[in-house]
Amino acid sequence: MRSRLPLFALGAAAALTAGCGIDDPYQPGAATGTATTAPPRAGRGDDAHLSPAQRDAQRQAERTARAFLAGYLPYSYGQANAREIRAATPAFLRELAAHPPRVSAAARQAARPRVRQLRVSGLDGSRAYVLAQIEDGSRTYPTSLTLERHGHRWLVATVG
Amino acid sequence: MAAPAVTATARAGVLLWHRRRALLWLLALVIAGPFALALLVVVLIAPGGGDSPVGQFRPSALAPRDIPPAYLSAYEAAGKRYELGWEYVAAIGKIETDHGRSTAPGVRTGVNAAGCCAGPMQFSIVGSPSTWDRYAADDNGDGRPDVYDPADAIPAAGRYLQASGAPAHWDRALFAYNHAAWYVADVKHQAQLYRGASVPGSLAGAGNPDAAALASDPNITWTHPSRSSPICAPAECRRG
Repeated sequence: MRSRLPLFALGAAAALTAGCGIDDPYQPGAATGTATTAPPRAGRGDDAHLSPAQRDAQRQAERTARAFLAGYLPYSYGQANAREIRAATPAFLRELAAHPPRVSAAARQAARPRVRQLRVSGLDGSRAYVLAQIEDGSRTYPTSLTLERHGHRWLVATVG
Repeated sequence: MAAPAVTATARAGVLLWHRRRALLWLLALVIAGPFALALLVVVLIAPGGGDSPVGQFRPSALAPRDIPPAYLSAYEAAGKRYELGWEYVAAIGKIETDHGRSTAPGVRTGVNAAGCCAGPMQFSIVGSPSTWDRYAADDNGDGRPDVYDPADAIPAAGRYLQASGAPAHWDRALFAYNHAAWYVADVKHQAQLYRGASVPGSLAGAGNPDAAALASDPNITWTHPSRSSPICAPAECRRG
């Protein structure tokens, strides 16, 4: 039995070596639950798998996000009041009105925020996720919005 | 005369067997040795290995140069106590008041220019209950919670961030702290500058907890191998 110990040690080492490559979620191409293996596609090509109804919902969500950001961006730099924000849920509007952001006087004066890019990144019957890239004259940063379906329209429920 | 020949053959066989066994041991040692050594380092040598909280990082080289020692200790203690990244709490302290060094109104006395917020972590002290009322405690044991005292204000910030969703949802928690998307981006950038090497035993790749939480959510169907775009939960896809 003792003579087999080295063989067991070798086997364990081999298993460890092989195990390092199994199911490593950080390895390219590793299996991740229900992920598909479709190759990445860029731009509008991503919409190809959507039904006409989903595409319509996506366009509406995009319009809602832009309408929200038109009021929210000046608000976030202290340049506008929360009352000017549109297309947000009543609860979120109350939260924004109750706690206006703290902004330095310099940023309040100098910032010229605008949306550089915006895309709907996820969509289902009741929620939509929007990623936007904002540019304010001194920096560019990403932000994400979660939209909720209220009747026939989308409303922004959270930022971040 | 046949017996000595058999004995010699047997001795040669035993010798060969011993040599093969020694060779196998040597081979096993060469292959398994590094694994055993690595295991030994993780278990015995690494400080705090095994009980470190998830996603904890040591201060970067910049952090002790930029953060006063008492503040750095308080940030690290708050991170450990509320199981969130200390570097985010420190980043908030930096952006809000430069770790209490700002001479603006409301940092050491009174309220800020907007008339709402006070102390090194700029808690809102208006309203009833105010944010400070909800999260304040006498953390330094001097008999009263003091919004201007970093030893009280920094742990309160940790409690507030935890209640707002950190560390699972840092973006949401930071947005709750100050309702501006640029603020979320700035704090995350500053936190990155303060973040050094990961604490052994903590989760690798936890630098972006929001992404980590999304990546591990079994209800999200990922459309790209890049896993950058959540589309919908399977049940909701079926509804749609």
